[in-house]
Amino acid sequence: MEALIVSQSPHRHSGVTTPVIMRDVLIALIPALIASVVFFGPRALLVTAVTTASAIFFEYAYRRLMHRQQTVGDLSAAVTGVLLAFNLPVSIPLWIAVIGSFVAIVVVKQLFGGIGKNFANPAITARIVLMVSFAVHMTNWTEPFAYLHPQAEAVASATPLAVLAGSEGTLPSPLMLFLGNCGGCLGETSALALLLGGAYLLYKRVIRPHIPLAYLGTVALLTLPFGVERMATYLFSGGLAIGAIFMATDYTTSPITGKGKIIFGIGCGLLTVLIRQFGSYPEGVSFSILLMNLLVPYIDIWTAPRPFGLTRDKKKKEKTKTAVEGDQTPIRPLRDVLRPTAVLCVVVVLIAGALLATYRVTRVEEETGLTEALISELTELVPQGADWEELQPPASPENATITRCFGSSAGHVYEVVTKSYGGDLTLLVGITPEGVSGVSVTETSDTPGLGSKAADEGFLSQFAGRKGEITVAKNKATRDSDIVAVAGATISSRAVTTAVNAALAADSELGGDGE
Amino acid sequence: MKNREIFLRGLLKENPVLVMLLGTCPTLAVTTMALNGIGMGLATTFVLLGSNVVISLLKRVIPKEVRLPCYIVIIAGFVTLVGFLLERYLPALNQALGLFLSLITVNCIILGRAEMFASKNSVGKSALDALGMGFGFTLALFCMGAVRELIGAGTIFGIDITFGVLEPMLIFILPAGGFFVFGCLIALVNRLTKGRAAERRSQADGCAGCPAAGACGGCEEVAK
Amino acid sequence: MREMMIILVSAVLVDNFVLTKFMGICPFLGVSKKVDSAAGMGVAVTFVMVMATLCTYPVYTLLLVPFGLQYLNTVSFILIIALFVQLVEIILRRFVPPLYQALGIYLPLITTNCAVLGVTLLNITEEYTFAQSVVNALGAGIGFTIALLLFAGVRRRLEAANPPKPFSGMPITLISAAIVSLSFLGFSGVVENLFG
Repeated sequence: MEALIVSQSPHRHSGVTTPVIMRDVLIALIPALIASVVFFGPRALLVTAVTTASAIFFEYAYRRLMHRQQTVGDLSAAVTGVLLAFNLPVSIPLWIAVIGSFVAIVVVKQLFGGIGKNFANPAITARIVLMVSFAVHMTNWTEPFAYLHPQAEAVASATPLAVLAGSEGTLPSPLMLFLGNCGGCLGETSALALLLGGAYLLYKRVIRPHIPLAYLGTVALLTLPFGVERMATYLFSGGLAIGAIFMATDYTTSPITGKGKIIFGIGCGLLTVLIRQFGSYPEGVSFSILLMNLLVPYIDIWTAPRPFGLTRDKKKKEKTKTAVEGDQTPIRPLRDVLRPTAVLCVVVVLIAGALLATYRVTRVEEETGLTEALISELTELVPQGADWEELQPPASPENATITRCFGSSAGHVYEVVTKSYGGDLTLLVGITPEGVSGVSVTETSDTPGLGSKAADEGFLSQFAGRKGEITVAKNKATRDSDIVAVAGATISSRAVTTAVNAALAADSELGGDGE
Repeated sequence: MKNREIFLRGLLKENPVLVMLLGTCPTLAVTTMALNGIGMGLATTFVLLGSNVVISLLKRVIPKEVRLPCYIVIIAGFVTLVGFLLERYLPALNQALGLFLSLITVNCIILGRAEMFASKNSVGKSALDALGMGFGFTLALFCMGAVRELIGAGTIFGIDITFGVLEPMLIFILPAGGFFVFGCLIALVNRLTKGRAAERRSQADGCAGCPAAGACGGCEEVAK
Repeated sequence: MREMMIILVSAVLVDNFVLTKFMGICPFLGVSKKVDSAAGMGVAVTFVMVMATLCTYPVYTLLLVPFGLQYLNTVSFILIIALFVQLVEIILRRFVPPLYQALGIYLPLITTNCAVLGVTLLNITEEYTFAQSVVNALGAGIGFTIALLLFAGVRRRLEAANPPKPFSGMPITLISAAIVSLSFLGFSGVVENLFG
């Protein structure tokens, strides 16, 4: 776009229109589509068809309903549909995919006026919305080629990214990642297929190399210190390839100038590595691109080419002129200020006095030092408990801290703090002579929808009645001591279990009879 | 203005949240559950009633120069009072509202009504105005809360209505969902009133009462 | 030191006062139309937040607590904030007119700003030490400013947008705010893992 050659008329249309560009993008996506079908089976095609069809439908319907010029013909909706599908796992329920199309086309794009008017990448934003809303479905990965053995039990596998972030599992070799033989979203897996598409787009001059190179280059540079193999793993796993080539390069939501594009790419790279390494969400590409989308207006300002001959001084002169004519109201004499201030003081004193009086009347009896709210929480965990009082917390084991301890006639409640995925996890564990009588999570910093599910009734009820050391199983309980972890939230489930075990240990130390 | 009109105006035509766009902070923050929304609305109504009445009673006593600090202190007093009552009788609601209970103090609605109405009208009329505005606020909060709780958690008033079949869409109980629902709600109001709501915003005295009238971009007409 | 960094960065990114905690929405929606006013407002708010903390925290710990008057915090804090802002306005008007021209109009808006009262109350409920409170206030202000600036950029784009009539104005602005808020979710967990 820097190569604007101004020449005299007559001019001839170059033939480059939006539908032509979009058609080229669709062609470029074909290798990735084929790869997704190869690795994940015919359902990949189904999901893609559903998102694309619904995207086209939503755009058509919206423009009809709003009496605006029909734009379905420019194929941009189709491209958004396909890109959205490539951001979803193959097992995604179709109704969720349709919601994704709705968000991408209607909310992010059409509501702002249609193509060119949106500030956020539609497919990326839709993916984030789905990720946040339906975390479990969006992280339900299947092994490649699993569709060839339908009878075998579906085993949820961890993606390479999740493994990089600390989950259990083995990392496929960089070659496997490059080819696409790994778990992940439909279009994420095969870097090879995506690069082929990218090469086509570069050849057809649909995209310029600035953003993909800057993006991938930054990630490569940041991960190189950890070794070439690590760097390659980083580059070929997750949505990085598709993000750098197809999503970050979206015309509407990326900077105009070449310099701007490079800044954009570098920013995306930095954020991706930051979020992948340190964030709760394993995938950083979507958030990075969206965050950089927000900065595009500023990038465009900073990298705007200066018009020939424009000087900055004019602007400054105008500013100072108006500033000097400031407010010249004189200061009032003290007498005038005295009476209002006195009234104000009287009002304040009256109010304070009134509050003091009402406080005495409504104050909760604090003989036991425990508020009513706390007592009701404690009684929920140990139903027959009465005469609650706070005791000295017993010694804590190494991986959990027992911060408070409450005793009653029927059992004890321990407040335990332990480390979980996103930070500290605080629980209350009620223990009676029969074992664990109740568990409730009071504070969690885990990912909402994923780790936070470890606070759900369904999961916590498994602890009821347990006495001995509890262990965690991922899919099915195999031993008596097992409880089943929350799908996709193994670390959080383990944290809860560690806390409960600590409480049980502490209780038996105390004598465990629930005096 | 007839008494009935004073009361009804706050409910619908000049609804403080949906039409006048005041009190947006609590509207977004405490509406993750319908019940919390109603609780917040009623607590605010209580404060609004109390402050309007007291300020109306004292309207000849409070000097013009210090009227804003005086109003604020009176409002803060009632907020603290509500806090006492909730802590004693409704601790669960107190917990749910958290910080935003204290933040009722700086709710533009209350200060706005004090400035624009209570300081210029009789006690009776001020009380009616407070009730109308307060209930209007509660209505808006209930709508927000109901939508967010239904779609975001699959429950209403804590009762699960997904029948194990439908799945909630979590984003609605997150901040992003709050902004989104609020935006759609206002768009709906705009559509239903066919643009009259936006007109009313510039004509009515809700915004002008806010001490920030000049700076806040939401009241361009006032600033002109 | 590490704890301070966590508090600071959390307040800016993860628990952003505007986008996550929903405090300071009025100025966020109102003043973010232009980049200059956004910057001015952000600076003014940060300044008042820190100053307010410096005033309210000692009052709470040295005056209210010893006399068992903690419940008077709402009344006293808002009074302190209101008076402080008034004072600043007078000083600016008299001694630094250019600064008053730039920031003065925002000052009344800051008094009724949920964010300022919110941060002073939050310092108490989170049981921060004095130093931590100041850092928290600073972080809150910076986060507010960043959110405001970011949104100002977005609103520039919005000027060229073409939403359906019922959505024009506040609704489309709110939906944009939803998307901005969404993007900040990406930072969850970053702070604890980066410094922890």
